[in-house]
Formats: sequence, C-alpha cells, structure tokens
Amino acid sequence: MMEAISPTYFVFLSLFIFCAGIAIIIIKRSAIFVLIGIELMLNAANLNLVYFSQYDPGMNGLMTSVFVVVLAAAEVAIALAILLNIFKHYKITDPDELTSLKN
Amino acid sequence: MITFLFFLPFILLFVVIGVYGERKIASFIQSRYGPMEVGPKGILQSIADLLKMLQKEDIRPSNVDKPLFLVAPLIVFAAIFAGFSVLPLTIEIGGAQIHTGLFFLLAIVSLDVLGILMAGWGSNNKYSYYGAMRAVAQIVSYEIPLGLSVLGVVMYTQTLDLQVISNQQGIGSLIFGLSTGYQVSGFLAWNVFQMPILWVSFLIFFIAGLAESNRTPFDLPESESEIIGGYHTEYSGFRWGIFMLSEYAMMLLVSFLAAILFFGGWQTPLPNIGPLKLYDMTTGTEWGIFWLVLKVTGFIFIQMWIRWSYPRLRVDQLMSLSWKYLTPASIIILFIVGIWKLIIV
Amino acid sequence: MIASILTYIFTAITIAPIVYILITKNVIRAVFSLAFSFLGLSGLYVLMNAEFMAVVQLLIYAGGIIVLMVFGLMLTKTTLNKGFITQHRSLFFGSLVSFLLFISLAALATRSGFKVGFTEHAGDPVAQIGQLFLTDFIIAFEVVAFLLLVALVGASYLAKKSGE
Repeated sequence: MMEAISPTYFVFLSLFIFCAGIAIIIIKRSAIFVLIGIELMLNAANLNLVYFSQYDPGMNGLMTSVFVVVLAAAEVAIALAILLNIFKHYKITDPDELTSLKN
Repeated sequence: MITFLFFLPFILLFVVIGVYGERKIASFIQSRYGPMEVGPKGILQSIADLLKMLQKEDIRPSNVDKPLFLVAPLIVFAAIFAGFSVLPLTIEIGGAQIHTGLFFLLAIVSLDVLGILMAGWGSNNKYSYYGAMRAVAQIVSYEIPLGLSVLGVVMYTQTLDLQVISNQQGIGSLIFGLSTGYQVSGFLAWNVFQMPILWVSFLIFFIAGLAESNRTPFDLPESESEIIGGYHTEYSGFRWGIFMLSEYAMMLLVSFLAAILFFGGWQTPLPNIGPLKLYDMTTGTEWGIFWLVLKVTGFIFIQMWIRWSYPRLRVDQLMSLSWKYLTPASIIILFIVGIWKLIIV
Repeated sequence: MIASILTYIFTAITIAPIVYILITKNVIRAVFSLAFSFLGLSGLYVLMNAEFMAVVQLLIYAGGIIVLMVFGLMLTKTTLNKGFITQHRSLFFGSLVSFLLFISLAALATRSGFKVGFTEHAGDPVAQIGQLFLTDFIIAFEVVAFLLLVALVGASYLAKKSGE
C-alpha cells in the first residue's frame, strides 16, 4: 500500500515528533506540557514500530506498540494524580518551583 | 458513501419526526394533547421549530475561548456520525469494510467527549463547566459496562464485523445455545434467543446506551433545573441545533447497535414454519431496511417511554449504578458466555 | 497514488498541531490540539495496514488520555476567565538541543538507507493479534494487566482527599 513513499519519510516524521517532544519538555514551564512532550515521544516510537511492523509477518512491532499505548495510559493516570496532589498542597503547576522535599 | 447517502438524510428526517414523536409520547403519558396548532394534530410543529432555530442569530459571547467554542459542536456531531459508517443496512449494503468494525465504532463515538469538554471549557461559564464535567464523568464511566456487554456478543459471534454478526442471525440450528439439529430461522435465530444470557447483556447495554446519549434518567449533564442547559448553555441557533442533532443521532446509533447486536439486524422476525416459508418471503433489500428501521423505531420508542416515566438520578446513584452494579454484572455475563461457548463448541 | 496523497494529508494533520503546541502558551488549547495530532497519527496507522493499532490510538489516546489530561487541568484551576497560560523558559537552549538532536539523528537515518520488503500479512489481523496476545506475548500481557490494576489503585489512592 505504501510503496510510493520511502521508509526514510516515516523515520523523519517520527524524528520530528520525537524532537518536538523534547523541545516541549525543555521549553514549557508547565507540568501538563511535560506530559504532552512525553506522549509525543512515545508516539514517535510507536510510529516507527507500526511502520516497520507492516513488513513483519510476526507483527512484533505492532504488539509492542499496543503495550506502549497501555503503559502510556497508566503513566498519565499516575502522573495526573501526583500533579493534582502537588497542586492541592503547594498551589503550583510548574515543576521548576518544586524545590523542597519537606513541606 | 452509503453513510452519507442514507444516514445523513435519515438522521435529519429522524430528528424532525423524533422531536414530534417525543412530544406526543410525553403528552400521552402525561394525559395531555401536546402540540396541536401547526398542521393537523400539530404534525408540522417540529418543522416550524426547525425553521425558527435556523433563523436565530448564532450568538458568540465575547468572553468565550473562540476556537474551542466554535469547533466543539462540530466535533461532537462528527464523532457520532462517523460511528454510523460501519452499520450494515441490508444483505448487500454492509457499511465500511473494516476488520475492526464494532471496535472502531465504540472508539470513534467515545471522541464526542472531547467536543463536550471543549464546549464546557470554551463557554467560560460555570454551568457549562459543571455540565461538561458531569457529562464526561458519566460517559467515561458508562463506556465500561457498554463495552463489556458488547464484548459478550463479540465472544459469542467471534467477529467484530457487524455485517457478519447480522448474517449469523439469519438461519441457524442453535437455540438456547444448544444445537437442535433442526433448521431455526426468524426471531428464534437472533442472538438473544440463540444465547438467552444475552438478554441480561442487552439490558446492561441499553441502560449504558441511555447514559451515553445523555437521556433521562441520565440527563444530569443538561439537567435544566440544576445547571440550566449544561455544556450547551451558551450556544444558540444553528450550533445548538447541532448539539440537539447529535443527541438524537446518538439515540439512533444506540438503537441501531442494539438491533444489530442482539435482535438480528436487518433479519426478518418471521420464521420458516414447515412449508410456509415466511422467512424467505420477507428477506430482501427493501425488507431488510424495513425490518431494521422498524426495530430501531421500537427502541427509540422505549427510550422515550423511559424518559417520561423515570425521574433523574442523583450523581452518586449514577456512579454507583455504573461501578457497583452494571460493571460487575457485565463481567459475570462475559464469564458465563465464555464458559458456555467453550462447552458447546 | 491515493495512498500517498492521504499519507501527506495525514502527515499535515499530525504535524500542524505539534507546531502549534510548540508555539502556544495556552495549556488547554495545546492539549486539544494534541488530540488532533493523535487523530492524524491514527489515520497514518490505517494506511500502514495497522487498523487495530489505529483504533487503539483513537480509543486510548484521543478518547482516554486527552480526556484525562483536560479533566486534570480543570480540577487544578477553579477560577475561570484566566485560562491556563504558561511561560517559556530557556527558549534558545531547548530549541538548540532538540534541533541538534534532530539533525544528528536525521543524518544517521539518511546514511543507514532503510530497505523494506513487501510481505504484507494476510488473514484477519484482529484474530491474529488476539492469538499473539495469548501465545507469544502472554507474559507481557499478564504483566500489563497487573500493572494496569496497580496504576488504577495507585491513582485512585493518590487522588483521594487526604484524611478520608
């Protein structure tokens, strides 16, 4: 189905998504943006896995990417619960301001 | 393409008839006349309402989050309408040919939550905000029993393709999950009769479907006595109309799914009785559409009947119904269907 | 031909929201545009013969994770009107790092010269995936199931009010 487009195209696409994720994590001063960046990086990996798995009769990449999605869901749930707790306690959402371990 | 050619006009027509029907049913249940002025027996009332609504100004309050506010109703409708693409209409017209038909439908319909959140947030109004929060909590909670009850059918039929599921309910030899050796057709071959435990599954599915489409007794997201109009408080005219349209489209989708998954889809209810080939006589393209629409109309009627018979639930009752009763029950049903399937195969 | 055009369209749908997220300071709009990016990705998955993965992407990412994020956001701010505006920091350094990473990885990718065969898998992928889950990937499947349970319990414990 995808003969017309070279694999390099998809590798570049996933590279772009990955690097955008890193840039978002570094630049933005908000914990939610950090989560967004992590999700983008996971998706970049998934894109590669799914793309190369269409030529694999065993579909190993596809299966791995399904697990990645599930792990991402669990990660977001936990991360948001922690963020909510931090917000309740300190009233901040910027991870940089979280400098003290006690109180 | 079939979706566009058939379902879009069908939804629009259904909304016009459905609104009228809903008012008439409500008034019948409450011992009054309902709309009587426009046309004979008020039959043109909903057309008049539609004209009024289209002429209304599309008000955009100045403090809303513009892009989110404007795009929200379109997302809600697009998500629900995309669900119609996989529905089979008759034996020839089978909807989109994808392996993951039913799974795709449930996934794409769950996206309407995004639109609701956008509307609730974008409106910048505390009633919209609470309405959206309630809607999302409710829809996400009821997706679990909905998915699990559907999974029972999928385990029994061993396919996700809705056309295959419909086909399997035509002529078979199973009744009450046991092989009879005779040819069974008509209503006896429907999933609920092939596998009677699916009646419970259907009940769970129907309750969860009511909650998904925000119908009374689960209309907390738009309960007018508490939070005005919920997430569509700030909308008017055409955009409000799209919200209304998607609510009715969701009702329709749930009814279509119930008919296809549990009650034979486009299959006729009449069985072959000896030499009297009623099943063969009432099977065909036109008959298929007729039976399917008849079943769907029946479910719509039941939804309206429930709406005017039951009071609204409280938030805590809503949550405990989903998590403490429906979810465990549907897991048990799933287990029983699996065991039964293992024994008879 | 149609597949290539669709690929470019879905690529645009994937990339445009990401660029918007890079620019914007509005958190809630960023989260919603992330949803559109996931929709584009799921379109790309369909074109890659991975229908199941596309639906998983829709259901879990666009329908689940995004909703969770917005819900979490709404719980953190009780005052409306202000919106969620964040600030940028170390703009130069951050973009430099990611740009350099992109350049170096891209150089690596062009040099490696990927070649793929065209053995597309036959049969019903959904059934095949189901069988793989319970045969080759059974341990991962069970571990993920356990992890989900732990995450569910953990998240609900963390999110409950302290002292209850």
